[in-house]
Amino acid sequence: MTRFVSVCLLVVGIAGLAGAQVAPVPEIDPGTGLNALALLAGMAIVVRASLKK
Amino acid sequence: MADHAILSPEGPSTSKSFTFTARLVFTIALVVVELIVLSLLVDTANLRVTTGFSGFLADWGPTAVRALLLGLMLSGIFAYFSCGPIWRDITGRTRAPWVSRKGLVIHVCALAVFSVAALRLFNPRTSESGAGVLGVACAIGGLATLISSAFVALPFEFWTGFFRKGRLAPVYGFSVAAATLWLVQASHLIWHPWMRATFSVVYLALKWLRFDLVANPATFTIGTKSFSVTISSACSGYEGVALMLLFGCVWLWLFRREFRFPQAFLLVPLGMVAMWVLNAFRILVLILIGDAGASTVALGGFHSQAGWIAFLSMALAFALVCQRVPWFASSAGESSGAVPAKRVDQAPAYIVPFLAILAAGMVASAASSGFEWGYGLRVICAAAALWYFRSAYSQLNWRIGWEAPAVGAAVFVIWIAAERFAPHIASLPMPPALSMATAPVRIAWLLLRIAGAIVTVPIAEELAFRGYVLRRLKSADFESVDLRSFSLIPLVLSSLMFGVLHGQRWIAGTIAGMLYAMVMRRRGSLGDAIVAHATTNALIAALVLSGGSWSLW
Repeated sequence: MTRFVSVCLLVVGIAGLAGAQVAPVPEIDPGTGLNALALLAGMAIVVRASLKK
Repeated sequence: MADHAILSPEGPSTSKSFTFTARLVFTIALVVVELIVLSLLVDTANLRVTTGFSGFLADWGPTAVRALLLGLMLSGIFAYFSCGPIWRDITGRTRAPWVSRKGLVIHVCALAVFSVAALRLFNPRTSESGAGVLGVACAIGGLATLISSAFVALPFEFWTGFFRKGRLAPVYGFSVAAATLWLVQASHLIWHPWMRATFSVVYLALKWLRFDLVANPATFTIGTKSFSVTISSACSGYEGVALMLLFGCVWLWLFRREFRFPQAFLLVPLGMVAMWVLNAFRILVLILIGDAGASTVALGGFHSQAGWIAFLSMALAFALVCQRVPWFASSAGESSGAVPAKRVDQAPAYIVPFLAILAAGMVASAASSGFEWGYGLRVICAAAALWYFRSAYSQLNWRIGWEAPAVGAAVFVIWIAAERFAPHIASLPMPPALSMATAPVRIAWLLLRIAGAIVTVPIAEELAFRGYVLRRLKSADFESVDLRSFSLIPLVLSSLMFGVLHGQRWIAGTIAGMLYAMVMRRRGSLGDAIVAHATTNALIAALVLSGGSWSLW
């Protein structure tokens, strides 16, 4: 089951990767993107930590 | 990860202690640093030659490099997960030195050939006659540089193991890379219908709100009589949907053992649809803001920030729903087992103040028309988060020594010196919006800006980068890591992350991060790092207010 799930997610993930690559968004400066990425990673850590309580 | 071996006093003869991870990280870092340096020196736009092999390189070179790097990265991921333990074992037993001298010499020679050829080829004065030879030298040198980099730190046994045990990984990796790049091209076909669908949703919403509509489906222009916008491909929402798809897949894969499949798969399309609807809502709100008379806010901060705010909100909702709703989660609300259930994970106490600054900055920028009047929101949110978690900080060492302000002053000197060598960072006067404001408003804004720079930002950033990231990179149980015992790789990586978040000043930011970590190490006191950071920021603030460039802020 884990292998099946992994393959399914990989196949769908390729489409996501492709889509994310065509996201030029010229009006957004790279700094905003990096801040958003940091915020996303931080949020993920907080959500995971909240599960351990 | 036994990274402490990196700081071991042992010499090359005991180099078997260098771990697989350390060698892999070194190899990746080597390639990345060389790519960054070369990209700073070489501008591919300068190539004037359009014929022969060099013309072919100009047309297909960037795509080929992208495909190659993507293929290598994906091959590495496939190989790592399929037979990573075998290679860790191989590199654990090897007696190969930390850096192979022969490999390093070959790599430097290949890099020299590639650099010289690239510098000459991508020069506006290069003629057609010499470009052919330079193009071939560039291609061969580039390939040799990439291949030789693989043998600098990773031993030969590793690669023989790779081709014996994981030979299908490159096939999978490059197939996926090719499929991805093909999809990039194919996705352009759906732009037009996508824009039409977004246009229709915004049109119906405005009609339902009984606005006097201005709508032209041919040009995708929509709005009211006083304010209208044209929906471009970038605004149609596909990038948000793609990011959501990627985030959903990564999240489900990382924590796959905690979800119920196949129903958890439903979350991916649901998240994508919700993201697309949210983007249409973003355009609707943008039009309403513009119609209300704040067109500069609508087209300025809101236009660029609202997309990220929408994506981050949706990602947070996705993470919460898929882990809290029992139908999706196999163990909703239970511990994942990494930490005993009774112990409270203190990670939020270290990173939430920093996240509060980032989130408040995004919201304040979204409500601005160029100048961030709402900067005070960052200070208030960070102070509130620090107050909320105040009990968690009582266990930390807050002692402060004389070295802290001295290191802070040294970082200030480095920061300003780096500014002198960065002509691409323009020197700016006080923003017109602030200089034209009334004195009380200007003073209030400046006081909040100084409070942020000297108080909340140093505390929040040091808690996040030195208190959490630096220790978390060494151990999952980061609280057990003493602030005096961190090792080289976590030091470099956490400082690099800190530096990258400073944008164009990433080199100075990385050095600053390393120095703050070193001053903290002397006594194991986070207070030292915070005071050093606050000193740097105070000196920068003094320089800005005394007539220095506002670009420093």
